[in-house]
Amino acid sequence: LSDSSSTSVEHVIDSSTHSVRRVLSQMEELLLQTGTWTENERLDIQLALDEALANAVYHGTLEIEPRLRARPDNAASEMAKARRSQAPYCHRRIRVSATVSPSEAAYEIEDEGPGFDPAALVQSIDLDDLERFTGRGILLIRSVMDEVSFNAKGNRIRMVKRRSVDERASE
Amino acid sequence: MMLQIVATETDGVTVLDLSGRLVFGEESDALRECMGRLVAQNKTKVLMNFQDLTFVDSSGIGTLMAASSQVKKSGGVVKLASAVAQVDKVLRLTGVVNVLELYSTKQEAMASF
Repeated sequence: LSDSSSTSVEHVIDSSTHSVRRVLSQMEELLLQTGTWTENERLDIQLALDEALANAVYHGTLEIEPRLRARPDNAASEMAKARRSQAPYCHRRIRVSATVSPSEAAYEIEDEGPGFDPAALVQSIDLDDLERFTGRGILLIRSVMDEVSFNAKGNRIRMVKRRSVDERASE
Repeated sequence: MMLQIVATETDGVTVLDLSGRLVFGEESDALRECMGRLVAQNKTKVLMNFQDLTFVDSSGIGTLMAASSQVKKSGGVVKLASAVAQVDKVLRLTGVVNVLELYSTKQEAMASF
């Protein structure tokens, strides 16, 4: 691919672990095909996609409350397992779209859940409260991607990663 | 790849060799249950060897910190070793390295107990 060319793909998946892993694998393959993205950059994108998809599956599609995920037992994953076969959760789909060029990778992930208020997210990680399960994923996404934004409903995230000047200079 | 945990004991230290991915779901449940068993058996000097752990996300970090807190409340300690690039990065971005000791090698970590 030349610097100006790009490839766009879109997947619509259910909330199963299998579907999520398959789409993550396809996104990784798309980056590898460009031949320019370094391993570090690909790991950053993999982390951002993993976090965004986890939010879309557990908070959006399956509506698992964060406080349930913080409990010291398996209640959250048991509920996730049950809801994957219950209406309305089992009918919801997640749309994953990507546009990747040798210098920029842009992703959109949208779920069919009720959404959340992005303005209510925590702005920094509290070292005394590292066990908390709310907001840390978004903070990680912000730290590895160059642009992160949400729609007003809070059920769609857009993330962009650009190849750094340093990485290009080292080639 | 799912998370696999192999536990061995050396000089009073329980070494957990983790391989695969530490993420939400069965993987986090497996670590939580493993740590619960160790605390119940009063095995509270724990070294987590991350040499073959290929990926961790924010849920995995939450589980790791909750497990570590559980051990600490029982008077014990959890130390970490041999994090690969992705795991090392997430441990640093989330500040875990400011709370738990992270060593470059399993041998260095063992020597610190």
